[in-house]
Amino acid sequence: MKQMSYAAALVDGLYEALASDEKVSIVSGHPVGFGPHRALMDRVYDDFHDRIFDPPNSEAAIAGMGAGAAMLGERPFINLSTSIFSYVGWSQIVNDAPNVHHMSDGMLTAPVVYYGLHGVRGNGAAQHSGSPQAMLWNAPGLQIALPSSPSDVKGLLLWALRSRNPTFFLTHAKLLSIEGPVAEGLYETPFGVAEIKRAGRDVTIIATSLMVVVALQAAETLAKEGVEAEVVDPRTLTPFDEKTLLASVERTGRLVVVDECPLRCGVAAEITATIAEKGFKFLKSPPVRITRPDVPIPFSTPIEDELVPNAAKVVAAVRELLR
Amino acid sequence: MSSNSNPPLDKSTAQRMAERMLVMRRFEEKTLDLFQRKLIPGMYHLYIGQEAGGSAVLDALGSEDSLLTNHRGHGHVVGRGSDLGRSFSELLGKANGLTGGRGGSVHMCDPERGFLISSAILGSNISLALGAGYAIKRSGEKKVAVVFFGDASLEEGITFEVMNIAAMRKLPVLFALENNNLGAIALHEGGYSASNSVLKQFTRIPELFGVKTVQLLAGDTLASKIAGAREAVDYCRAGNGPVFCELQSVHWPGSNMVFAQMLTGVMDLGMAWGEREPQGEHAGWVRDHDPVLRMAREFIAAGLMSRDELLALDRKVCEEVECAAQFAIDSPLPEPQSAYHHVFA
Ligand SMILES: Cc1ncc(C[n+]2csc(CCOP(=O)(O)OP(=O)(O)O)c2C)c(N)n1
Ligand SMILES: [Mg+2]
Repeated sequence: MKQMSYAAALVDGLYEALASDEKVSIVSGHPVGFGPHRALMDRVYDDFHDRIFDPPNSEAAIAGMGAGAAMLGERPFINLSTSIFSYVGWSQIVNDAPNVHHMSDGMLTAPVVYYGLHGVRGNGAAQHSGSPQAMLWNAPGLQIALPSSPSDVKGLLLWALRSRNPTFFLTHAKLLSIEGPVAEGLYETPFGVAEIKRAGRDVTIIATSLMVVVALQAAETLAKEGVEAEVVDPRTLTPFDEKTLLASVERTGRLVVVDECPLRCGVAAEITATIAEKGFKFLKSPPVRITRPDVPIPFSTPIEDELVPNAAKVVAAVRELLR
Repeated sequence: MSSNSNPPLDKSTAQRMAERMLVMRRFEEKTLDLFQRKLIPGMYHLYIGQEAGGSAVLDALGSEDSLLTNHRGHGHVVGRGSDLGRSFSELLGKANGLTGGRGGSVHMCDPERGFLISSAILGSNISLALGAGYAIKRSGEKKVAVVFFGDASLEEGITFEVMNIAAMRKLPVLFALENNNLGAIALHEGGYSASNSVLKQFTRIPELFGVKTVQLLAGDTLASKIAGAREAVDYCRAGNGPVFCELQSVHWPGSNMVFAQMLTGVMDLGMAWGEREPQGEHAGWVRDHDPVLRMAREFIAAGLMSRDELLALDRKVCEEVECAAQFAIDSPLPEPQSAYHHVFA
């Protein structure tokens, strides 16, 4: 184990993938941006120069290129940068790659990995603050990964690049600098396995991506008040580990879901519906969703803060729930 | 436009152009200063180095025309005459900003001046301009829709779709390409945004669709640029269909990285007439390519403005900019509850 940042772990995963499978290649080589983490990619460029293509700004073309190449056995990592640029290649991402297997009667598959940074990064305003995972979750055949820790980002990436199915892999600008222990070398974190990030008996908080960090902060505060929150991270939306989530709610009897998508038909909506449908008998009180409201994200800090889920909002919701 | 047969400029045009270019420059210098003082949150992109082409196009427009721009749009907005205080307020995320602090640097707009939205999605603004052209054509009015965009937008497929439709329907759209690619540092060289295309001659794209092209080259005189811009706007306004106008500029070294740096120093008009010499690594850009200094030299040589007139104008602009910045600094932030406003009309 080595202590490293989320960004470093992601780059480490890419490096290991390139080193271990020569079918892996990268399209757009700056998945950790052009800011302080840019230099992390230097060693990948140094050692795999000929397997990185920095494409023109042509998201639709590279999205289709990734799916098409994957159909011929390539393992492309298609970096769409800010994940909302995926909207430009939406048809290829939600209507081509995930449908290939089904449309070909199971003869073909397009296991491309699409990558992007989602969420409210801070003053990104309406067009650069989106979280496409809820929309993506409505595309059958597409896997979705939302790693929340350095260890997960590396392991899930290595799994995605070996999976037989297409994946959208979403990170978050505000996760890039967080530190955690990461195993060296090659390891995979399987999709479809939720992780209990913190055990607790009083309430289950299900969260994804950056909201896991927010939920853990909230849990710390609540612990000081004698409330033990269990924080569960599904890690992937498709495949979705209902079992672990249901088992947690069975233990605690209470559910809060924290999610950065807008409320309606968001990730929290689907998680809550699933628990309500299959675990209704475990619930001692109605489930609570803490999400962005159905409002575009504005530029200025006070109005942005107002809309974004944070630890204080989670703490307040849990207090209310346990009153 | 490289022909030398342009009609000489008149004094009032020169005065307007000088003021517009100085406003653009001083506004951006102040923006960088405010950012470095940590007063501007988020991303922003400066217009420094591109003032000549943008000003020429803006000068050719009428008050009824529609405009759109992209992420690098401050120059277009203040060059169109938007209130400087409200423009700075927007950059600072203040309640009285052009868009109430909602849009910030990359979404400025000012419908009162015909300024429709700034879209930060490459190619999107071009498609919105197609719609503006469509509406204008349907209305039968003799107006023009202008869209400013960077060379990276030519890498997006939508740009080609738009050209095809604009040409097919003869829509009054002026595609103003801000080609700031001369001397830009490419991604693989450690820079940020240089063009990544097999095409080096961008005007070949509109030509494919039979769209008229006009080039305002970096080295052209302002007189020639103004003539070129007028030709483009007039052609469009007359109902002949779209025009593609390439506004070429030499990349400002300060914007090679994601966050701009004042690598060329604050502009000093005295350098236009040798009172002081540019220094440092980027002295060459200042000496040969700074559009504001070039403007000053050209206008003085043509007898359109004197040194003293230019200096006085610059002092006035600097004062206005300073005042506007202070107005923004003193302005209130939006109330948290206003976050929920304006989702639906
Ligand atoms: C669809 C889309 N892809 C990527 C981006 C990210 N992006 C913002 S500005 C930019 C470069 C723009 O270069 P150019 O158009 O030449 O404009 P310049 O910055 O040089 O003025 C990129 C890639 C974006 N905004 N939209
Ligand atoms: Mg450019």
